[in-house]
Amino acid sequence: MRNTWVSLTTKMLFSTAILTVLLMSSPVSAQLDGEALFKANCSSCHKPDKKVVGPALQGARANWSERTEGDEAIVAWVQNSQDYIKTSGDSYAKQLFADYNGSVMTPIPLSAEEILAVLDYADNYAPPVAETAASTGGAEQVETESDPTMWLVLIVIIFFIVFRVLWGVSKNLDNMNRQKDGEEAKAEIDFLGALADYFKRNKGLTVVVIILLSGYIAILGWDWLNAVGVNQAYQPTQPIWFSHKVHAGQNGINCVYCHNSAEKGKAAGIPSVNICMNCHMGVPEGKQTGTKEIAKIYDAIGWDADKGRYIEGYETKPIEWVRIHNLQDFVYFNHSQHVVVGKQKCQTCHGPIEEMDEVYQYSDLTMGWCIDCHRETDVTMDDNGYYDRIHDDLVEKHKEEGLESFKVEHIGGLECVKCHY
Amino acid sequence: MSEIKFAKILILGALIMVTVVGCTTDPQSPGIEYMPDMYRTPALEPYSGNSNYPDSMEARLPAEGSIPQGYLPYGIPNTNEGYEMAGALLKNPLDGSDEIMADGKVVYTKYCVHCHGKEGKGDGPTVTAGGHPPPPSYDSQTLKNLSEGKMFHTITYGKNLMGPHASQLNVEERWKVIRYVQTLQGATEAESAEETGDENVESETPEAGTQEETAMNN
Repeated sequence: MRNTWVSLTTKMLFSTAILTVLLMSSPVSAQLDGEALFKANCSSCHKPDKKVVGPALQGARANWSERTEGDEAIVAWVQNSQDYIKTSGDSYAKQLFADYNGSVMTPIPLSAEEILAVLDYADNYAPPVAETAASTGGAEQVETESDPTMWLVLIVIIFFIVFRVLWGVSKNLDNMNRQKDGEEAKAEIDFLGALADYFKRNKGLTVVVIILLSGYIAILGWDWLNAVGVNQAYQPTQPIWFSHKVHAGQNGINCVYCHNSAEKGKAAGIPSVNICMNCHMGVPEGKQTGTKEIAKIYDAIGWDADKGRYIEGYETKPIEWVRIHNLQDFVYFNHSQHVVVGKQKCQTCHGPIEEMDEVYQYSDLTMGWCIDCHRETDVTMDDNGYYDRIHDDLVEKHKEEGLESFKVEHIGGLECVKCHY
Repeated sequence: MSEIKFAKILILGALIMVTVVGCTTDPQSPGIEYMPDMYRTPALEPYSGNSNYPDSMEARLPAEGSIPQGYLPYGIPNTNEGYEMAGALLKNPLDGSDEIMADGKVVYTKYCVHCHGKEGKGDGPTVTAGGHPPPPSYDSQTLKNLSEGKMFHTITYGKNLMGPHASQLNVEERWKVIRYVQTLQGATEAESAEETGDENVESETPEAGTQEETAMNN
């Protein structure tokens, strides 16, 4: 009994020891995962095969070990580049530091084995191939959207032609029958004449057709008149194929990151090129358009993508974006008023902008559209000291209707001078 | 016969209408404008272009030496020495009150989150979906103890692949977001254990956790 107890405890102890050893050793093996180490410590500034902020890492180990006879030098350089320059006086390292605009590499707290594992990972790195080739030229793909009116017209035309052919066939058959019976062929009449004859004989049908056609023309005419001065669905080609779907949708960049004056002023603001560069310093190539469109940004601001720095004394060029949303000169619209105070989402007026490759005008921006929204939208008056008095006054004013919550129209959203002055 | 003529006119009219309406749906054209003088003003609108400048660019830098109201110049230069100097000299004038934290979080979610990620791990959607090189994680060994002055300097001038954000964030917003970033920077073990429960960070956190451990072992 006692023996078994002892052996059980030894077994348990033994297995715990093994477990501990296993557990201890597992982080050691994880340590030498060059890819993970690279991603955690190096990839903000380095790529294995391309220059980013710092040089490409491929071949660096071989180059340094050949030059300095051993791996100690490159390890010291990675761990603390400034110390290495001071203590060793290595002219190659000094030159490298100067070549990369004198930007100091952050001292990297990794051990020698770990650094070498990263460098080995870089040496064995092969870039993924399949992804880019498939979707190039995505920008050129034009979606042919079907227009229902055009289809209707096409159907009417086809119907007309089929009708004409059938009429011809029946006329010929009729004539053949007459010839067989020894009668004279009917006098030649044209198709339209026959049609006119038919309508003349069926007065009821004629009236119905005339009413339908007049109604159709009236609707078309009315729509057409209503579209005068309304730029809805306007989708001009922009100087750069910039996709909101990629930037705001897939990359999740907040609207105000670029249009930051939407919260601060009347106009939402077109981002200046330096804001494009905040990301495009690190992204010289798009998935859909390659380098073609991004090169236009570089051309506007004067960025040398090969050297990774701005060209000194470059004369910057404006990017002439085509304005889509344009309110008439007699209308005052303020973005910050709607976005900050009114807490409206950008999409309320601009539509599913995060799904648009090329932006089009989603809303019609007519006065009726403005007014509708002012009639339907509640004003959030809670947790806002400014509204406390106003809210009490409004409750008093609309006592008879028994209103507790208020729309924009109740705080003057329908007054002419709010928007026209 | 007059009815027939009327019918013919109707058909013709319908066809003309269809063509006219069809033409105005050209996406390249803003459509027909009646009396465009009321729409297109001779006065200059923001970004409308300005023929008084040779490049017609209307959005221009302020005249050299002009100072906005309430502006304090940031005298530290954009150099490696300036970076160290900012770290030693600058202190956050704002406290860590709930209001400032909340404001800081708002700024963070608008201006930082798409690269640095919700938890500051450097895994925002521009990195995971857009192919931007990942920024270092806030709780990594190199950034964990980064001083607030250096952060301010970095937001102002940019560092490595991060561009300058001085044109987007004013001084107050920069200090606010730094307060919030500090909460992501010094995540304690208890907090990171909580995070592993979150589905979004599940794949990232264990990796980052082992990195921390190995770094500590050394």
